[in-house]
Amino acid sequence: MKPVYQLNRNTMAWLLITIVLVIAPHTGTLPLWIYPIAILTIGWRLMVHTGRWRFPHWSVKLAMIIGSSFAVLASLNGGPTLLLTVVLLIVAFLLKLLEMYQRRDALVVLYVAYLVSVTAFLFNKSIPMAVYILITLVMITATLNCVYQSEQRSSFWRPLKRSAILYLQALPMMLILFIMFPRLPPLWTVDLGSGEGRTGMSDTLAPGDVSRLTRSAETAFRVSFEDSLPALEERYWRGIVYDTFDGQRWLQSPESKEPSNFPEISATAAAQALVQLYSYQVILEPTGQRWRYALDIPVDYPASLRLQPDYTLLTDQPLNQRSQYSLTSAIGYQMMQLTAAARQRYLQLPEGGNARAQQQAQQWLEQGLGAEAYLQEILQLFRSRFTYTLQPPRLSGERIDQFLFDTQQGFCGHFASSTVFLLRAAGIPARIIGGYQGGELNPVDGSLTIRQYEAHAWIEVWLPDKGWVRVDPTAAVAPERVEKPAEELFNLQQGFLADASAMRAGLLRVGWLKQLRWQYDALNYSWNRWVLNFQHNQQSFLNGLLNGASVLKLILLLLVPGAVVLGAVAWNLLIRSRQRVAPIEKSLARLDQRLARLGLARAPGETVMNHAHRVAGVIPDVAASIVAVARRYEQIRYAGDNDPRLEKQLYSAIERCYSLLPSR
Amino acid sequence: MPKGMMRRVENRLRKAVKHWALRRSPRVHQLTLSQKRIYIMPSVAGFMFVALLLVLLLLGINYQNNLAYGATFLLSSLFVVTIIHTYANLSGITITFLKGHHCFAGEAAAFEVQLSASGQRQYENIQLRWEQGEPIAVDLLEKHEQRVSLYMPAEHRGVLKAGVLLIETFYPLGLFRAWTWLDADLSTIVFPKPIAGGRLSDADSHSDNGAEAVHPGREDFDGLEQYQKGMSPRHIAWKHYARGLGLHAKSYVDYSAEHCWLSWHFWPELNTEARLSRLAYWALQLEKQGTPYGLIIPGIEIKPALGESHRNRVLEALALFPAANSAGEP
Repeated sequence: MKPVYQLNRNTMAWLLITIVLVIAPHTGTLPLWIYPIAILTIGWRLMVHTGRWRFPHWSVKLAMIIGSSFAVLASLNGGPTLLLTVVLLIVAFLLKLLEMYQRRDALVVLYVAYLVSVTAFLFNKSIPMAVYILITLVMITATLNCVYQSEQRSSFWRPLKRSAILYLQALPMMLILFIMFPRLPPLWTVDLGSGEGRTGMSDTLAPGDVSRLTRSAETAFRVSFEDSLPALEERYWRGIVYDTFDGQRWLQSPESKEPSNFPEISATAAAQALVQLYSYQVILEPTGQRWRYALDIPVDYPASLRLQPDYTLLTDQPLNQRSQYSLTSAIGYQMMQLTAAARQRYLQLPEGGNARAQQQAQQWLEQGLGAEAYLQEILQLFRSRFTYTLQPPRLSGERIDQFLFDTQQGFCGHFASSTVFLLRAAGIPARIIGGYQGGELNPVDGSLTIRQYEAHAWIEVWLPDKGWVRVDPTAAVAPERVEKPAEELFNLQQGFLADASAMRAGLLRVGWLKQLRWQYDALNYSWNRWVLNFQHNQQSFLNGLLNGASVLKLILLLLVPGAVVLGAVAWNLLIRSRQRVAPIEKSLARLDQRLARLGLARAPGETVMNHAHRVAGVIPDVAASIVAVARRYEQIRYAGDNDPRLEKQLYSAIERCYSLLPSR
Repeated sequence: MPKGMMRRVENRLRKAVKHWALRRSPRVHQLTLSQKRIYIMPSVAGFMFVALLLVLLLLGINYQNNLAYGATFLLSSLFVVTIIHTYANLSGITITFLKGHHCFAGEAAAFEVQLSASGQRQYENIQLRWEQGEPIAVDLLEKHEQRVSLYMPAEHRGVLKAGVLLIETFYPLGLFRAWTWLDADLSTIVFPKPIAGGRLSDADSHSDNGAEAVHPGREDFDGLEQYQKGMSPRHIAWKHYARGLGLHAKSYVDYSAEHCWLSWHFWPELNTEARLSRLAYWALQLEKQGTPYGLIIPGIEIKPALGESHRNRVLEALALFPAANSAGEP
């Protein structure tokens, strides 16, 4: 007899397909040296499979193992451990290809394939990726099924069908588990590595640096409001406050991060002050930074976030994964409070430098202007002589002076930093706020999408009678920057969306394509909210479902649908396929049983008609009826007569037989 | 725990379960498998799969990745659903023990078993094997009935009981092993191993000038018959086999009229087993030569004749001859 545990040819074909499928989503992130190994091993195995080559000599295998070990070691330093693990797994199973003869070898490869394909989710969590990985899992399972087919009857397509059936049957229980299973906090902190490439605000702001952000149409975050949306000119998403200028760049001073006493504003206090409150949920893409974005002054925020004295929100860990949080913000609340230490910080300027700007400030001060009039003077200056451009001339050295008196062209960073410089030079506390302004409204689900090119810098100035006031110097030069969608505004500017050609070409901004994009965005938003960040909604969802959760209800909810699904699967597999006997055959068999009790069982091989005549000979009473049964039966079975009346006649003839047969 | 001890405990446990299971099932001729008899447990691969699920769950937890959670749950559900599929791959199969075939000691005895599917259900890769013996895989797909020969090594002459049949399946994903033991109501007779040697004295050959009889032999080609274990490989019709028509043996007939007796007393220097083996050898030789032969051993006398059934009668008598310790050396 044949040995049972060898791999059949179909399995090899399936394995090769599976391996390619599993590696494919990682192609972007894998180090380059993997590709020659992949091509060599898969190619070699393919040649073995088609019978052209033999398995490599042990020395070749050894050389490959040593070579790839060195390559792994070389990429050991610096690389993120997660990526390295994936690399290691992939190399291992590529090399295993040249070593695979038996069922056990295939199992090792397939189990690693399950693992590697799921790790793809750590790098990409989009809907297409989820669909792709689902397909990959089905294929891996088909391969596994192929491994367990018997050699003589193995088939190429049957495993795929079987695997698809298995997954369909597993799906309901998976959904239940997904909804019910408690999401645990991480057991230990993990290095997320360079999972996703990041663009976003940086923690320094230098006037004159070319803004990277306007090149990108990537989503920064998405917001959905619970009821009303704030007006367009109020959509300033505060992220980071720059309070220190070192002559070149604006930074965050270490003191600003120190915990200090400052009044938090409660929602009730804000409501009493008749300020508009907005509740909203933010899904923030990974930034690699610790700050979160919020409108104006957050009055209600999750416990995982810390409110800073400058009313920005911070977390303890840099944001390496898409994150979701709910906030309530008060817009327009008067913040009068300013401690002496804070006042000093918001007046800080480097010693010396930018002499012409200092001079200008002195000149305005000597005119005896109040703080507000002074500010208006600056904005008036911008309005009269400055131009807004995304591609300003490069600045170096005394940047404020160069911008104010020489180039006079720039974007938000330039205007904000020189305004704050001038204000501080005149003894008016001021700070730069980095964040985003605007957001595209998706009419499909009413959410706002804030993209990287909407990154913005504006200022807040402390006026003696008004407290902190938000001022956008850029709006003085280019009021449309605030009023119009950025994409319309920047469209003619060189450098805008340089990295998003489809967007730049206007492809995604016209007609039905735009509609489609909105649809897709809305889908993505739901995906983020209900799948990727399900843990934030799980509690409320379950509460809604259970009307107050209890352990018992939870268990019941888990067990009952699970049992129902499994029961259905079992019924389908075990019972239904057994009862494929046509109902006619069944009732005929019942009649036969009855006749058998009278000693007139149908002999093996005896036709129904012969049997009927034999019975008729013994019990003349039923002769007519039983022959009628046999005749109808033959008409239905063999003449292919599909008349439903025939069936009815058959059944009534059978009934007549029963009534005419002697009871025993 | 040391590995050896683990293995011992495992073996013990396995034996205990088996005995318990066999006590529950009487010796049978035909049986349909149902939940009363089918046992199911995760296989080694299944336990590895659970370990994989734990790793995936850890991935989901530590990276707070709901898609990894989702994949974990999907594969866990798959694991659970597979229980039913593996079970369904055995349940409803009817096993009929048909018959055992003769063989010589040292060869493998074949037992014929028939598997039939219930209704329209399909079964794949069901493995059957005797406690000692090679496993063989059976599929019931388009064909709802399959006959297979299961081989069991036959070391000693005499009656060979088929014993316990293990029916197991790992299908569809190898995560579970569903199995059952059946005490098969089958046995066959193992002939003594023919060992060449000695000579037949002419005195025991008689010439009868009777009518010419046709006996199976090897002189004249008579036709083809299905090859069976124990037939001379020299008679295999290789041309037929090469054409893919299966294994057939050419059968020959001889025309002769002599006969000869095989007696227990021919080789007094040999012990019982060696004597039986030599008698078996000569019986086969004479059968081949087409010389009618008879057998005289203590308690049994078989008249000279030729042919398959006669040969089997002679060999059976030799096979069932009491062993030395009970009969004693003559």
